[in-house]
Amino acid sequence: MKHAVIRFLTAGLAVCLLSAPISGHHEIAAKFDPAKTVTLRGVVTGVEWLNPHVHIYMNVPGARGITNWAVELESVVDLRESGWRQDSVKPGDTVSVEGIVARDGSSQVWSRSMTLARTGKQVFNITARPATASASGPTPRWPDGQPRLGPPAGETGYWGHPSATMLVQAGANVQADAQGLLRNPADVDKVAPLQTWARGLYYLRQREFLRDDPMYQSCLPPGGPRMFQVPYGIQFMEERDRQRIWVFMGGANHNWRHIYLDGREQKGQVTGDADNPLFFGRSVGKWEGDTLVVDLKDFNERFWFSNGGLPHTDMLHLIERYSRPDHNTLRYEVTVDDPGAYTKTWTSAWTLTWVPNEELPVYYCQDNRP
Amino acid sequence: MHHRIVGLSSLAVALLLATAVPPAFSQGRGGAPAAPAAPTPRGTDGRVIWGALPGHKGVWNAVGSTLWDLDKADPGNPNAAFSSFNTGKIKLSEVPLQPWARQLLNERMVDLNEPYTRCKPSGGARNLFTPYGTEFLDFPEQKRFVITNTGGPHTYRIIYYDGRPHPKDLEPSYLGHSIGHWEGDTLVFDTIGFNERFWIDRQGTPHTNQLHLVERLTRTDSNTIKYEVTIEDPGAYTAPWKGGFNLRFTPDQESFEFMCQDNMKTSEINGETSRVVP
Amino acid sequence: MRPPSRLLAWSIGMLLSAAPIIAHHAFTAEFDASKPVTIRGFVTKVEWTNPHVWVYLDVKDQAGAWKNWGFEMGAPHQLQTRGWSRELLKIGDELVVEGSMAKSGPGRMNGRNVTFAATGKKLGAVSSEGQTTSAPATP
Repeated sequence: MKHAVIRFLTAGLAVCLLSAPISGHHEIAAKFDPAKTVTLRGVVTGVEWLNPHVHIYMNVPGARGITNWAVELESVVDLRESGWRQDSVKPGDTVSVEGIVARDGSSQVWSRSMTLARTGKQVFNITARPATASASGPTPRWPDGQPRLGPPAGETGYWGHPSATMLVQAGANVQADAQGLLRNPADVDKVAPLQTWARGLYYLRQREFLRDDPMYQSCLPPGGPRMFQVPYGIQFMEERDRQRIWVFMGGANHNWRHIYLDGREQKGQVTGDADNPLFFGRSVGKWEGDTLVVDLKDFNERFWFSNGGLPHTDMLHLIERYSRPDHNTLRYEVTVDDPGAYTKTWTSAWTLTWVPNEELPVYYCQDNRP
Repeated sequence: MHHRIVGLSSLAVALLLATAVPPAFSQGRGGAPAAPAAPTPRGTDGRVIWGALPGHKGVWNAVGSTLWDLDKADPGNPNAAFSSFNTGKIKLSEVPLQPWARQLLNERMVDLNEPYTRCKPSGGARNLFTPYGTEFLDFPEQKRFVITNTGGPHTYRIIYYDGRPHPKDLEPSYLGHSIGHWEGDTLVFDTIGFNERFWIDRQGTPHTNQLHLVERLTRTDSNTIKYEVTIEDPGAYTAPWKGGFNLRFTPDQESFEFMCQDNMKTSEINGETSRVVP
Repeated sequence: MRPPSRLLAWSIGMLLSAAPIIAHHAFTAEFDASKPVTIRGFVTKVEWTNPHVWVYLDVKDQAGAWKNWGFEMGAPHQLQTRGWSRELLKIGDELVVEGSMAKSGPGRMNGRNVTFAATGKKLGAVSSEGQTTSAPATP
């Protein structure tokens, strides 16, 4: 037990968060160029109040007449949490925006600061919420003593605020932002024991600012450990009599996944998913003392299993270990076994914190797609 | 160390159903319903069991996909599969649509180009028409009822029956905010807070963000869940109206992973693009 | 409240109606049943995925120019119970596909059935077109 504590503390130190936007939908630098700043002033023509990113459209006068700019902001979930609403800015309002422009030359800007002319005050700025420092307590347990991963009777809440938002091997020390973009691309070798081809791919993904992330491009799900590092939380609902656990996501596409505890083989069902390698893999688990040990395999290769784009192949095999050392802490530990992409197995671990008295945010990546 | 006692002993209901396990029967091709229905299964606490018995498999699928019947049969219509005629539902001409809503419905029924096709979650009845398996999960300890879907957006919907009210400042959503209570074995729930970016059924029966649903779910026997809905929307209708349909138990099937976004081509085929997203 | 007899009829109707293959979505959202098309070509790509399997063929037109076509089939789990598997199609296989053109025009279609040129084997594509009606003709 102590050994495990030391291990997860080490992993927790490994990733130093830089000044990070809250957004976990995509790396801002994938779409916008931090070196190209601009200040725009104009009249709002429209507000698209949608996840993953709210957009304000504004007419900006310039040398060649009026250009309509699209201004990208954070998600509805995050803006609401900071007190903003759909009508905080209205068509007809004059606003000033300081931001960075789109790499592709289109009239799009990521807003770093927006000021509403009629109030003179900043609008749509995010005031980051710290993890609730609520009193913890002992591990909640079922009557037979097994730890409860979900809310105990009469309580509500979910798991959020991952202590690390990038998958990195235990013991490594790298700096990256919340989306897993390394501060120094040369650090790729430190992140995980990559095979040469995989290292090349990882380096390329990093150099392109994570532009090709399938979650960004197509709202494909964050399978594997990434599920526990993206925003908007996780909840477990245990059906003990069915020997099945539902894992619900608040973010990404608000999907669910199963962990089966009935001793079944990892294979799909004939009239179901039999032939398909999956985004979430096939999960079977059992309790070993106070730790739920889950085995996952049968992944496809159409998603990124980590923030930052560490490659994987369809040989990916994960062992997850879930434990709840106290009421407010979920410890997540993962062993990555992918002989197609890595030179050996490796592990990583972090924690999530209980968010009491709240439900999983309702967020759908698909919201502002056509 | 800790024995994981599977709670089968607490579900001595098995004695009720030991003689009524449905045969392994593929529901895929439109066969007859499963074996004669047994009474609604219950646990020893008397509560209805909403899914398969522990140790067994099964999910639910809606019968049909309509809230109303056409006034006249229209078999030549390429979309005939998504409408119904003479099944005892309210007739389309009787649905109290406001004129703008009736016109919109007529337009939508030509192409049925619904947001669901583009992987959008869809509330109301549409949620229960999702194919490939729906599950109903009752969590009395947390006083909530969860409806999950395999198909479409592969998502879940929560109905709270802990007595909480609707939040005052509700962000409109695809599935709305649902609060409920039990009337005997029927879950009655009230949902508001819908956005307008989905269809409530497959035909495109309109709604606005004033939509207010009162829905009822009852497992009437081992094979059947009855769904009833009162639709109230002063933005689209001149009066409330009622619809409903059954869901049928599909034994030996489990929920499985299905990702609409995996290869959704609808937007590409229809040339729908966004200025601001990939 | 509906008159009881109608409710009873509806209930009976529900019990007796066939459980159809419910399409993931309506055919007419993307395809045009009034534009039937048959293509013959060589498999260049297979996307064995949800929500629909898509297969791409290089097809020679009447002028002898190659054009790549894509055709849609059902979902993998539907196809699997009707003679298909993920490994069945190979790059280079020659297929004849009958179906309906996309509303966006040539190059995309919905497949109704697929014939393997080498063996003559014909399989249905679990098209979303012409699904079994969900309603009985009479209660």
